[in-house]
Amino acid sequence: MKFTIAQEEFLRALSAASGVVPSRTTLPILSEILIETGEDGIMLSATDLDLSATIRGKASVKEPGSVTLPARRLNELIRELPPSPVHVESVGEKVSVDCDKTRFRFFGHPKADFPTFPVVGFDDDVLEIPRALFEQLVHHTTYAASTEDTRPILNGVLWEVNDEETRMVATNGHRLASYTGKRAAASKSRSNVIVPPKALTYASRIFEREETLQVAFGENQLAIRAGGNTLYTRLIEGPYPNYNQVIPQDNDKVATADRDALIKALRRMAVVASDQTHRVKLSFRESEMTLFVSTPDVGEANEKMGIDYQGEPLDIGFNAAYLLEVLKYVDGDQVKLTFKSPERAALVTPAGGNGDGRYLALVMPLRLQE
Amino acid sequence: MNPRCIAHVDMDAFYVSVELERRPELRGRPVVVAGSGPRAVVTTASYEARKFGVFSATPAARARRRCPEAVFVEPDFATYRARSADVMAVLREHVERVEVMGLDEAYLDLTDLPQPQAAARAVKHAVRERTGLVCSVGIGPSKLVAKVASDAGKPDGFLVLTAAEARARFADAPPGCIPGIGPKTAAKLDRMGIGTVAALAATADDRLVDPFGPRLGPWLGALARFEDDDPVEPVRVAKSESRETTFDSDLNGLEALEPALTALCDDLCAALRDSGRRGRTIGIKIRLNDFSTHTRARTIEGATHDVTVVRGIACELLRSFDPQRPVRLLGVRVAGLEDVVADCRDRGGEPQEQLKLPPPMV
Repeated sequence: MKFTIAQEEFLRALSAASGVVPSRTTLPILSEILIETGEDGIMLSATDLDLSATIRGKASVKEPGSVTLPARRLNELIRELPPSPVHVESVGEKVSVDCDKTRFRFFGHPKADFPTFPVVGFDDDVLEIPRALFEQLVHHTTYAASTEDTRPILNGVLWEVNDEETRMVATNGHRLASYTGKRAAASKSRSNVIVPPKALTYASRIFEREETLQVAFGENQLAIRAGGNTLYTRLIEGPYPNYNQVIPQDNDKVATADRDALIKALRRMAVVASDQTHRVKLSFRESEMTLFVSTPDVGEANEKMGIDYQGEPLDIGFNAAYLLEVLKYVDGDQVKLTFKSPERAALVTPAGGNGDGRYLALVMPLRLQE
Repeated sequence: MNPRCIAHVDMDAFYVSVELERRPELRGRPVVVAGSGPRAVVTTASYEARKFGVFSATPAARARRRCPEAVFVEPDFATYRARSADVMAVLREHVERVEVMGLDEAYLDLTDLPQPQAAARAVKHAVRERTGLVCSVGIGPSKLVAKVASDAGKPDGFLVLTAAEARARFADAPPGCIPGIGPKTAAKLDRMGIGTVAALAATADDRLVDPFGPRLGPWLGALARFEDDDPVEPVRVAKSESRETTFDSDLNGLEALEPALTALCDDLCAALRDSGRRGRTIGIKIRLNDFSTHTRARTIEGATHDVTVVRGIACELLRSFDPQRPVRLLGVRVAGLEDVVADCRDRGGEPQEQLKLPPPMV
């Protein structure tokens, strides 16, 4: 194998592929990157066995071939090289990397040692989705997925595609986030899959230059492709619980507040809140809300805030961290919070126009101690 | 199901190694980590010091006599705990099922890994790479075999044994070399004429039932045959946490004892608060100068880690016990611990503070 590639292009492709390389593994080959020559350049592949990616880099290929090299070392080396053409040549598993006056020799492994990638066909049933919408979906939901091992299904993000809409939903059982966008291109593809959040955030990072992403659904794999780069991820086996049943329909107490002001007030209160529960109490009265914190051994605080509130007076407790988290993803200046009672889910949505998509979040309260 | 493959990772002279990181000029010299009080014992001795007959639990005074040129270092448990956490983190990165035993040893369940021995080597290497500390690794089909293997390979060992190899290797060794058989049991076996592991292994269970009871007896025989199916349990939830101190010279009277007890309560509550745990049972332990040990405890309504509550109850217990002899050791313990963070999740029947989404979501 023999090719020449610009240092910047090599680094870009390597950094993208390295995002998949597991930082620690008991299978040493996974810490390597597979380099293969293609039609008009090279393909860099990496996998952690759950998530795999192939990234294309523009290069001039003189002799076709393939080899694996240690990802971290190669990345560090290419990063430190001057912005000049990099010549890579391999004979068997010996690889030389020349750039300007620098010459490196590496030892790699044959392609046969590298795990084979899943096969997901892009031939039929491909969903085309604008990258911008995909990013919005991912951005507004992945944070809410569970990181506990108790219920693997909640570690994933539900991705639904029907004729009119596409939606992602994630929850850890205490708070839930959902984002819905209009289905753009008309294709026959419909889906209902549960995707590991790592794959989604990785996809929104590597496809930063593309307009449209192609998504193909396999047996228990999902593939996303654009601009010559392809990502494969294992899916989490469903079915996902019916989240629609828990979205409150009868919340009759409605508060509208300035989003930034509420975030700032909550952050101030959180300073004194318990490190374990992050408990804050919100007291809603007509046109005013008071935030209270009282933590034994630490101290107490309260803050008044002008808001628009309709409904019976309400005292309700929350984990400030959960509330802050869902507020962070509310677009627009005004946020609407609706409640039923101190033991029922609060619904958080943007108060103004919702832009192109619709974000909604549920937060379960913390029981107030008498 | 695959046959089990267990590794026992045991840090070599852990406290001494940590001290040597700070004082590399002591490398190669006999170093002993021990308290300075008249009743202190050695917690760890470097391999150089062990040649002089200084081991863990040797009284510090005797250690000084046996090896006057040794460098004596005061134990610094905060640092040992931190370094231990570094080591355990490396282990957990490599292997999912890790059972931590104290600060310097752990069992790893390698059963489902494709290449268990290679994984264990990688772990041993990674521990040295990442922490600079050296461990010995023993591998076997059970925790027991893994443990004797790690011990037999020390220092810097890597030893794989099957149960049959362990039986052969330790056949002529005294039964006391098997973890789980303590000095009293070993002495009793010796009086019965059972002086080797092989002899114990060959002893019929009924001969052991009489002196040791129906459960312990056969269990001793199984140990000697290296039969052990104790699983690697990653979560060992501490049920209690305690602090105790042996006084340099015995203390007399409540006035002298209460400040000592208060200090122990402060230390204990700080640790509970840091780890987010509370307990409902508060107990004290008193050892008098005749070596009699007494405990008193009280269970309260709600779990606490509040230092004023713990102090109050501990001091009340001490006052009502009112030791009539000089006190050698004093301890405080909070038991029935619950994890505050976990309590926000699910703990069968307990009222939960953080409410959950309704079914079917959870």
